Amino acid sequence: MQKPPLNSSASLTLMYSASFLLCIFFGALLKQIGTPGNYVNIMMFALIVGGYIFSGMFAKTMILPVFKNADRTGKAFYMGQSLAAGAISSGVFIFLSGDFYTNGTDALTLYSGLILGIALMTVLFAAPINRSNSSTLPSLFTHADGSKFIKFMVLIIVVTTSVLLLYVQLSAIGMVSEAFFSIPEKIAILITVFTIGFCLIMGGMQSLSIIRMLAYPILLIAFIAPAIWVAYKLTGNPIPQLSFGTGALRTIAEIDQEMINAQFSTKEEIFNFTKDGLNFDFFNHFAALLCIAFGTASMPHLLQHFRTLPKATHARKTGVWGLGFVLLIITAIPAIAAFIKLDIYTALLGLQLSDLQQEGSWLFDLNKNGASIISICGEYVTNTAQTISACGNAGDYFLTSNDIGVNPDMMLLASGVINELPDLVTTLLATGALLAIWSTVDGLILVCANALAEDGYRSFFRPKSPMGSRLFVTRVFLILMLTLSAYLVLNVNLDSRFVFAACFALLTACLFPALIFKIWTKDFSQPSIVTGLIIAFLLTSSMLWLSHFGLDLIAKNGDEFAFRIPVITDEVTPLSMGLIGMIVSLCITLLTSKFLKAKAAKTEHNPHVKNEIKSDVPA
Amino acid sequence: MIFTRTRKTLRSISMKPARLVSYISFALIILAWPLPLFLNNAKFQLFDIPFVYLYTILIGPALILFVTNWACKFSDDLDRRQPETEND
Repeated sequence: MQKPPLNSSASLTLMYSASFLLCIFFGALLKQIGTPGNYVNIMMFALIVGGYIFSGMFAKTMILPVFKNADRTGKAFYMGQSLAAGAISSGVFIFLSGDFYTNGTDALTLYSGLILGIALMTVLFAAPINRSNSSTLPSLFTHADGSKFIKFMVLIIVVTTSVLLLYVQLSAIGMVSEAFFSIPEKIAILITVFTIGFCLIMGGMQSLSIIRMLAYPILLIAFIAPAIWVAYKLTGNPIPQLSFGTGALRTIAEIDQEMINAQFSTKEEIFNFTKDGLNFDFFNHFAALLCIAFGTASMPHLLQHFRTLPKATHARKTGVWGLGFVLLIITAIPAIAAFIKLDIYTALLGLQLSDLQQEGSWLFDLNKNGASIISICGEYVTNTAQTISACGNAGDYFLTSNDIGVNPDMMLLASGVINELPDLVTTLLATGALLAIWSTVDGLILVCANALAEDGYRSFFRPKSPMGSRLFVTRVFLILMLTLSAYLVLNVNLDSRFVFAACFALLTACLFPALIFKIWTKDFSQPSIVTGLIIAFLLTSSMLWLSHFGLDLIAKNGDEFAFRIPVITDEVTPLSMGLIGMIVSLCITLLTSKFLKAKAAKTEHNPHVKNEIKSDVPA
Repeated sequence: MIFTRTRKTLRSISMKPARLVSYISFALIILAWPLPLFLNNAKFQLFDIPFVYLYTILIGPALILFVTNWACKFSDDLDRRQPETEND
């Protein structure tokens, strides 16, 4: 009998990691002999594509339970890697360090929320989801009375939030591929769609688990190696998490003080990296932290990993391993932001504009080809004349910290150049970023397709459909979801940060309370949970729409609503709306639980309900 | 009335009191972990890093990892000792 693919996790991980290290080695050799940068970048890109194709071919299956749950043959250590790779999306790998650079302490919201979310997911949901016989999240809400309405509502929420997060991830692909792989955005997205589609259509959850498991070591090397290199170069201590205090923060504070003493800046003008206080008020900050946490805990494409383990105890261990693996990477992010700030300070602060061409030409190279990375006096400059014009036509003007801006979305990927590291480091970071994005996109696509096929098509149209046709329909939905997501990202222009906030707000307001009530309580009837869910969904989505678009389809044209809570806050941010929706959902569910009771259970006489539960159990 | 309602809800959760208390304790530790972030005290420093910053970046996550691991092992022990119920 053929060994299940997930039993070969150790050898697969070693093989792929070895291939990656070989690519780095050959890349370094090619650089030494003077090969243009593109060949190395294309080689790394090909490695990612090759990994997905290999995963699809290796894990291909025509058996539905294997396609959906990898036949529950996963191992905790390796599924923990899959979980970590899925959790580390573009938001963490690319944007978080830029957030730390520009917002300082405020960026700890996303940081803390992610950690809290994975911990909550492990403690609250890992074991119950593993034990349940349902293969999708909406199926978890199958009720003994056979009612499907709540399942339909959860399906809507799962698909909506997944599509929103897909949009954010695919938007980042264009930025990375154009700037670092010289691949136009449209072609990059088409390659993404075809490669991920091939992988998922062949093996479903099995190939998804494998490729995410293979991706994690690459993400770790791609992120940590540059961090260790920079930490050692600047401070002599290779552990970035410990060395950025003495190595970077102290020096930055000393430079800031020198600027104040020389009267180039005032204390109010200087943005203190670790200043007291927060940029926005306590309510919004705290609500954002909780929303990120509850949203992460109820993220469907992460929860589906717990079904691939044979037992509940393995599922819990997977969560713990996943949390540990995520911490390995994200604890280095504040250090990276501090080191980049120090490098920019030492390279540019106090420099006269007329000396920029000689001593700061790397800055102009960074901003070429449309890649807006470092701004001087508010403009992404590419020559000295443009710089002088931006700063007010004074060639003897000395640059201060307030004149220098960094595009937070591009900062990490450009850190190799900013820190004067070899080009291969930039390629490494870009490879890691692309892999982080792809390993999130594939999970989101699969969770949508599975939910639409099982809880849409099968539940409402063909409850008695055979496994073969269910597998076929799932694959059709995979193709449809890939097409839809590519179409959206290429034709619809939305603010990615708002879309990200909207996704987490909806998860927090709707899915998290529903899961808690369903899994952890018996006292609340299904109808009361549905009522709370519907009202929370309508309230949160209305608030999000009105605050961003107003009464039309045009964003930021002056007719947007600004929600405020007297005494507490003057403006409710999009993330905070999720917390408001969750509180409303809890209140409505508690209030209506006494008055709305479920219909009498029909388990004895309802063959559809019995079949529906049993047929999801792997053969 | 609040006491009666609370008692009814606790009974409906269908869980042994020891396990419920443990879960509530774990939840409180996990949820209370980021609160020092809001203390606004950048003056106390360790390794030249403000303590609140260091706590949120390193010490807190290590604590969360430890507590989560402990919670999972505790749940596994309880599962082995007791028959499984729907809300375990």
